[in-house]
Amino acid sequence: MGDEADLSWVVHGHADEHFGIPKVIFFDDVEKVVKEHEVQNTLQNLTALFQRYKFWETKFMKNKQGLQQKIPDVKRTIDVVKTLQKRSNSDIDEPITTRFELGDQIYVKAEIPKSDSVSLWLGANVMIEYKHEEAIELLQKNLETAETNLEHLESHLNFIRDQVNVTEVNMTRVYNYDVLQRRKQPEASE
Amino acid sequence: MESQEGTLPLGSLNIEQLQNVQKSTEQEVQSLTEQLTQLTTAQQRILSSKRLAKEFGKQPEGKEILLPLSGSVYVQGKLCDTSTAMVDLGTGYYALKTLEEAEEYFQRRAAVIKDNVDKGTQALVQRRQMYEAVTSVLQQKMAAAQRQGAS
Repeated sequence: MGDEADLSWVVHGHADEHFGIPKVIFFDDVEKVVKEHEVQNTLQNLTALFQRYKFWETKFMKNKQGLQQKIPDVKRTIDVVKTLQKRSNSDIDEPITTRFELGDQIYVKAEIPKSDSVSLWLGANVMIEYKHEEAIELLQKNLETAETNLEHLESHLNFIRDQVNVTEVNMTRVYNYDVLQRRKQPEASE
Repeated sequence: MESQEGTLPLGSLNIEQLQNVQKSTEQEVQSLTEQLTQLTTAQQRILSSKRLAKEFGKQPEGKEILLPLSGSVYVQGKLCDTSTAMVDLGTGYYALKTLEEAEEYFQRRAAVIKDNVDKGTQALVQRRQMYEAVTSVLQQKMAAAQRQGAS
């Protein structure tokens, strides 16, 4: 954001929660605020703040969507590894015959010999072979992290929505106050 | 209403009507372009499946592979049948085909899509011409209206 608006008097200082996103101050006394900071300046600062909140909101929404896709994916992956583990712990020695997706709309046959390991694609061009237990442990940990992250995001988003509402109410109150003042003025001059 | 474009000379429309026609033509151009990109990606995917079917036949049976069980899990495995493939026909139907049949099937699908792409391209060119014609008539009329207003 180019213009470094001074927002120190529209938000509460030091915020530890919610990624340090500041909490907006509700203007109890609009008259006092406007007298101190002028209408135009106040509205400008509030708009700048509003835009920042919107920026954070879209950012968090994007993260949330990513996680909402990732979580079921990890769950499915855990199921797959668990199934393989069950098989490898059983007495059946025959390989599993299955089909895998060779490409779009085409599936071919392959067999999986009994084994106690799987390879996990970790991203960034890294694949590591794990024993079944280790793989499940790792995936479970990933799942937990993703779920707590989602919870945090949800609370950040709720917080931001509150701030957006208060900011909008502040803007409306300042604006209305200004309109009333202007209406009074010609009467006073008459 | 667009289908009767031949019977209705553009010059007989007033500015507002022309603007409406311009807008709807623009939308048509846009949606056609979108459809075409979608079709082209679909076509490319089918052609790549076709190539895969062809290449897969060359693999020896028993070849060791890492087979994908999901996007992020792979296990050691072996190819055990390199002469047939299950083909997803859509709407929940699958068919077991030999690789030659699969290749042929993908070829056929690609041809159908290509047909649609060609038709779509034709329609797009036509719509674009229409859009340009409407725009130029509209500009003429606007200029004329302005001159009238000025005099």
